[in-house]
Amino acid sequence: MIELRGLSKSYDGGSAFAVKDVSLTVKDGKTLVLLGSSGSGKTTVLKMINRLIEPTSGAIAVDGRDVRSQEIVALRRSIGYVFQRVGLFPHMTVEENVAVGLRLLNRPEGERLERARELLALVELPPDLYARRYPEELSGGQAQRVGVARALATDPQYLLMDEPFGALDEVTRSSLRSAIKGLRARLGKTIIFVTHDIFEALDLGDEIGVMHEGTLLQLGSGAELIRSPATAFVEQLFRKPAELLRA
Amino acid sequence: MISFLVEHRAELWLRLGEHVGLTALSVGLAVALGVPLGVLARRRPRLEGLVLGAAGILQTVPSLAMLAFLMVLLAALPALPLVGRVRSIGVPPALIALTLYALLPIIRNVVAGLRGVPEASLEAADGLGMTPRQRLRLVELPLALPVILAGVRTAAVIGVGVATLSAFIGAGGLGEFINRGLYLSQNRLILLGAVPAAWLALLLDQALAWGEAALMAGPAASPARRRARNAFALALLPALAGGAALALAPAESAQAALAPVAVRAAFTGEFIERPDGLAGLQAAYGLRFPDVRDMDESLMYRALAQNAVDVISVYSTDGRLDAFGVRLLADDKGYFPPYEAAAVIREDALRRWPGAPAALGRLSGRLDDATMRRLNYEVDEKKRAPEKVAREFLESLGLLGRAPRARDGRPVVVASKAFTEGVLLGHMMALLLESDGIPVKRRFNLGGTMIVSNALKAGEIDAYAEYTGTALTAILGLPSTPDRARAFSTVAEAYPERFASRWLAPFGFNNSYALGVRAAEAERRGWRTIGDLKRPAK
Repeated sequence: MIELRGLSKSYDGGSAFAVKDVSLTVKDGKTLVLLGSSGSGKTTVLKMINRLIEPTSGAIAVDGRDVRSQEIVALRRSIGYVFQRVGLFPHMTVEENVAVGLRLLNRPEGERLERARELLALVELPPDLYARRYPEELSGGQAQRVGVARALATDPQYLLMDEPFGALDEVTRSSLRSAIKGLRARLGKTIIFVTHDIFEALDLGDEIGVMHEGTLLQLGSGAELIRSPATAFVEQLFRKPAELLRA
Repeated sequence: MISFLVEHRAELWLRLGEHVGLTALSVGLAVALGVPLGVLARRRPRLEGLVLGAAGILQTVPSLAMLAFLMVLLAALPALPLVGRVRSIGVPPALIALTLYALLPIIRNVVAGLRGVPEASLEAADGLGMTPRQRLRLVELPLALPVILAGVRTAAVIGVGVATLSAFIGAGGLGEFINRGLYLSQNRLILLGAVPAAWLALLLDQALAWGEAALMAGPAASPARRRARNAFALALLPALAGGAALALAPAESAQAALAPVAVRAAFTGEFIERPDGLAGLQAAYGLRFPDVRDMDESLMYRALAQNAVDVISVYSTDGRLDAFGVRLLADDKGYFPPYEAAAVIREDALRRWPGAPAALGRLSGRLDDATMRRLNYEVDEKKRAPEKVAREFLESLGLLGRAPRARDGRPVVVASKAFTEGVLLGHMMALLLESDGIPVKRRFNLGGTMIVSNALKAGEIDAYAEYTGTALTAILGLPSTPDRARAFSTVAEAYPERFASRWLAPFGFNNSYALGVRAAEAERRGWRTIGDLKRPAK
């Protein structure tokens, strides 16, 4: 379970907030989608959870433990993170990239490579074909699959995914979405997924949190958001899917 | 040419080994020092300017000045724990200087390399839970490596070049040949040092470029890349290690038959190589210097005074002899030829200015050994301008007239070699000509005997002061003679034909080569003549 309580972040000592007073809970095995345009504060929320950014006020608890009381390196290793810019290490092969988290834990090489192949198969990249390649030999979609496999390497209970499909074309996005759904069904991970794509949010989210200008406008299932939007902004945002639903 | 190579073969390998060793060791030290400094500079932006600035300033210090400074510094250093006293001449200062020069390109490229690591990789490293040390080792350094290696490459090529200067302070290397060749009319010696040095620089550059390419090659060639990486490491390491071992190994002497003397010697490159220099001296006295360093003249007095060496090669009119308390050993076997200084002037200049011999002739016989030594001292130790010292001296003798306006016509180009006495004599000659209204153009501080005598032959200069012994042995390649008059008449006869020039009557002093020792040491060990050096140390 991940809990955020009154989470705020200001970069100028409190006159403007990138994130303001966000509270929410993600139950184990569920997927929360943070939906918002760029600059709405959703990525900032995500980075505060594994302390890439430290909050100005408020609290975060993972598994009931305040993240600030945990050792920062251990905390990050316990949470899988998929980056918007993927961030594969260009000097390492695909399998080395996937297994890098295990290397940090000093696992033996045999175990690392075996796990890497297993994970590559899981994200539908045949290991015999891809394990020895370098990141620059991959398409955008393949690279992001490797990014997901890397985040899963240490088998963390939590996955934070920061617009992982942001830069990809629609066909690739939808195929990756179904891959994520398959993983979720099989592995039972707890996921926070950030996107600006409303259809992606509806497709993946057990719950959707709509963010705008740093605040969380509404939190609920897709159906709830469409049925009873709390603000005009949310209503506007969900107008198109609502129309599609009616048609 | 072949026999020349065969004759120098053993020394060539030795010097090459020393050169590679000096370069490799210094670059290795600079990497060991520069990488942590570069990482630190990258981590602390406020330090970056300081570190790069300091390394940049070091780079601008002229090499010879740096070596001289290090000599003084190391000599002043008290004995250190573990290493003991660091020698102030030879390999230690050369190694330190080379390392300091190699630092800048390495630090700069480490900083640039680290700066070039993609932000996305850094974020991923942090997000995956790498400690700062793991991030550096697994991500930042590997990604910066090609740029760092380019810096090492630059450092190595600079190092090969600067290492040629290490010969000035007796650290060996290919600069030994260049030094000796520069002082003498020996192009072959210069080439023997310069060609392998250039070759070495190219080779090292290529080898490191290959390594760089192996690290940066496209992933399409990834198995090949690994192979190349391994092959590169395998090929380079023994080469470097071998060079280092060679550089540290003691030099062997070819003249085992002669009695070795228990003194440490520092000689100029010119003295070591000249026909009237070291080899003949050893044969004439039946002794051998087992510990000889090739050292620049400007450094050896200090080295002697600091007890870093025991014997140096000097000129008998050098002004520093008294200042540094140097005693000259008598040449009781009459080995050194006479070196009487005289004005040499081209005959076409004499045709243009028939009054020139009379003007210059006023100085003939007016300079004795003591006077010349005093004038040298004014310049070398009192740091006075040579022109001023020359003018004062001529005025004190009343040799300078009213200095009428110079007449029209092609001036007489007066030259000098690049050492104090030569420059002083050049100034005197120029001033005397001018006081008789003969226009003069000055071209002082030319490189050495070879450069000046070639310029005279080509007519690029018209007049300079030369020494009979030097002309006899080093320029004309004739056998030496202890007879002053005969030495002069021989060169005076040869020059009209060989150089279209004439020797005027000598100035009066004899600036002979001599061996110098510390006066106190000479007293203690009872040294008066060169032969006395054979006495065993007590």
